Amino acid sequence: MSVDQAQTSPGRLGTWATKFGGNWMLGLGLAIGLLLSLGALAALLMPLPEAFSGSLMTRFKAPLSPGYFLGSDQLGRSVLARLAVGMPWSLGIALTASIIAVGVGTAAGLTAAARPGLTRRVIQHFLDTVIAFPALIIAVTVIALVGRGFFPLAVTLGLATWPISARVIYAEGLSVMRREYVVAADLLGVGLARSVLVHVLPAVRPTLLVMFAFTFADMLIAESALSFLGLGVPLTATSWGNMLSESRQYLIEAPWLMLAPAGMIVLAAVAFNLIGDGIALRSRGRSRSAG
Amino acid sequence: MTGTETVLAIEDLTVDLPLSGGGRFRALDRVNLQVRRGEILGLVGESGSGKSMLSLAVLGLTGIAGERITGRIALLGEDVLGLSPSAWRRLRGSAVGMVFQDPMTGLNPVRSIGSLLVESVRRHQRLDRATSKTVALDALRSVGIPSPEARMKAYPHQLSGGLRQRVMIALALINRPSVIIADEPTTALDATIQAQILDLLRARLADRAGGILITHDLGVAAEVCQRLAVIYQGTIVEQGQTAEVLAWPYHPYTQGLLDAAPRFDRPRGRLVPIPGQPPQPGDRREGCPFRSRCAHADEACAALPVLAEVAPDHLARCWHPLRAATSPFEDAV
Amino acid sequence: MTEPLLEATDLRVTFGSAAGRVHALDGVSLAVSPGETVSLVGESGSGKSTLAMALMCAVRRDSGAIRFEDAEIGRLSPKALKPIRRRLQMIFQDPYASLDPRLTVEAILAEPLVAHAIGDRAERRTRVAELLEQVGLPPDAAQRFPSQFSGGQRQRIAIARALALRPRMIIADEPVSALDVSIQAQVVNLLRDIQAKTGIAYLVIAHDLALVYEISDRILVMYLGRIVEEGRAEAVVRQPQHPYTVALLSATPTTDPQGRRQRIVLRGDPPSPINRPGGCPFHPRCPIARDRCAEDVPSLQPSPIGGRVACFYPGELPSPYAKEASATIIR
Repeated sequence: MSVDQAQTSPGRLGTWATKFGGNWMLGLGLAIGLLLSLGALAALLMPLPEAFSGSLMTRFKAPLSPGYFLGSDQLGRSVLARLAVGMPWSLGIALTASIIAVGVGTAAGLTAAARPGLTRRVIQHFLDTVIAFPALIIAVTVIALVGRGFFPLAVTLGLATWPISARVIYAEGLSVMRREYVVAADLLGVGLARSVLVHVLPAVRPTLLVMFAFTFADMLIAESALSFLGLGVPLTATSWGNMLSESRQYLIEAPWLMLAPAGMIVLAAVAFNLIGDGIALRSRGRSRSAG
Repeated sequence: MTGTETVLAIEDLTVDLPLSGGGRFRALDRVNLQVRRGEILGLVGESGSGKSMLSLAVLGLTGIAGERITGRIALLGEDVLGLSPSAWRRLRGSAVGMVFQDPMTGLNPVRSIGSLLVESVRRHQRLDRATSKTVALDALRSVGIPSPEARMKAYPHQLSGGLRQRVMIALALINRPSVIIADEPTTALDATIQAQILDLLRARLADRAGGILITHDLGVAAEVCQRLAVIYQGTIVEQGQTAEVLAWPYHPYTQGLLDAAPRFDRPRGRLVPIPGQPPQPGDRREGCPFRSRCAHADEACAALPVLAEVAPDHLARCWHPLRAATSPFEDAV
Repeated sequence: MTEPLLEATDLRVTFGSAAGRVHALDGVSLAVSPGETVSLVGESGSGKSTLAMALMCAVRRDSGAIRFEDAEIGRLSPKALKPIRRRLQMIFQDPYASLDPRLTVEAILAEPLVAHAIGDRAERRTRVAELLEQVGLPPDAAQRFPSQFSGGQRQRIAIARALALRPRMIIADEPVSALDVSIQAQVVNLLRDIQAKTGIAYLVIAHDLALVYEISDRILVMYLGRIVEEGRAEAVVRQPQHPYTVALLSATPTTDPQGRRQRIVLRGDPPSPINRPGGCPFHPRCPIARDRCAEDVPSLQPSPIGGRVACFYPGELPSPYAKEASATIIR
């Protein structure tokens, strides 16, 4: 459907807005996400000395000062450069944690969906128990025990939040398991594992992508929160959460130190929420037009 | 029994709908139908024939973005096409009643049967609550619902499919509409319940209203309808008295439907299917819509035949009717 | 009579529900011979679909035995059932739901072959082409998706999938009831042609007695989880023994003006299997019920015309189709 065709008929405005809205959210979310990823990649490859060293001369430069687009911090380091350097940490931890959360969640959810009886009951009770504890509290406890760092943080966050993915994928998987073509596969003699891989997993893929996008946004915020509390990445490393944490003392004289990382966290979280909503809307639209 | 007053006249009704991939398709093509008081017209067609589009149009329930409707729908002589939604709400349930395939979609699940009926009476007839309740009880009784007093308090989901369909019919009839539209009213029901509902429709519809019974099943139409219209890809292909159309069909599609359906009164053997597939929205339409599946089709069929009178009160749209027309206008066609 | 291919004895299935135990199947016995078409007809709640799944060993049975090809299969583990699945297949009612919309037709038809490790990739491809031809679909159908086909064509795909393993028997649950009349006849004839070529046996579950009459060698009529009448198709229609069969016959809408003359319309709804009436389960709706029917349950006994019937007063009601009308179709 071309855009001008839609605009000529006001009656179509509703469907038009839904369609374009889905694309718009997905498009903007993906664009921001892509920019952030490229930025993270660039920050890993490029030396950014101004992120690590400054001088007293360059302390607390306001944003838009020459050479310091987003200003500088208490040690005279460029905030922009530090944001860039923090990107791989923040996004990397969120990405790893989301892969673990959604991966483990999918495996557990589909297993529970495919195997009624004891297996399902055990998984369900386990999920109920884990979900009863707030994920952040679990993460704080575990990190206090195992120490900080990229992987401890990513793995802990992933393992603390997978039950949510598992619940969603279980519900979706259960409804797919009851579809006639899955029953038909069973009666054809197709094994359960193969049936889950060939029929169920592809059917839950849209849900999986949506879960992934939302989990990513959550993980980003969780990483920042933990770093803010001093439980995240090592103090020597730079992450957005660390930057936010350090900015507390200079809130009055240098508010940009807080606003810059907070803005990035919000931007990235919103981007991945947009991606999630966009995928959800698109797959819903598809199933409607197919049915 | 059949009066002469025409309660519903559909003239040159044409409906174009947008296709999801762009473009339009013609769901109904210049459909003409008349329903007289006391008569049930059967509209028979398969999936994709446009028969349900017709019921929606007569009920003012269209409103698909991008649709285009032309022609005339005259309810008791008054053109209702293009009425405002609020004017339609006044008409539906009073001048025109409806019975759908799935009564659950027609009955509000959180309202008791009694409150649905009473509300409809009060809205359209402006009666007080006590009188309305009496009217509602009578309505339930008239459709053969046992212990109507108890059923007034029941909710739709507490009733069986057959009883729900009876309630739906009571609701459709309660304000004495002149026209009833019944769209596949028995398709979701078991055979023995279907027979009950068909008996009920036959008994209750004919006495004061006129109706259209929309169905895919020639047998169902034969049980209830005095007249029959066969529709294929949005076009009426044959129309006439039911007994006559079934005994002497002129259109190959009507004959094809009869041959394809299994029957107890014929020797067992091979069924004669209609070749090909039913039309899909967006299929090219040029000439006779049935020609791609018709054994009699030739070059002449590239042009759309007119719906011509082939016998008294019997119309068929075919260049090669299955028997010689007895119409005095035959030479003119 | 030849040795039956599939034989079920005294099958009982109950489901637990909040309202109590539901007796979905209450002692059903049946047999299907090689190359035979047997149909199960009944209304909703009669247990006919449960029976199909029970025969496929896909629901839990309380008791009863199922023999297929001279071996008891009712107690087999899922693994031990796998080789049985090759020879006993199923077709479902809704061709929109029974095919995975994400797979190509080729992948759908090859799935049973892959599952049973039959042939290599090239051999499977050849077999898929064969199957498409067998069900009257063009070879290029293989690369398309189910959504690109009409309902009738999808049901052909489902039939091809069921045939992929060259089964000896197919259980078909309402195989044509989701299809348009003109397409129903195509699919019915296709099933017949396949039977003529391969000698396959069918057990067809259906609600439409006219269709069942057309396609079956024998008919089983079910009511509330029991078989109430069994017989050759012609006999069941011309000389039905059970009053419920007569009611079904006269309730089936027909375009034949003679069929509409005398008819019995049953009062009331079919009772739910949750509160099954005592005595004969049909007695509350039966037009010829007497006192005894409310007390004793009639068992399935040989009927005077060679079938079986569960009624104390068999054959009292006449069929509306007692005589086949002269087979004249006026053209």
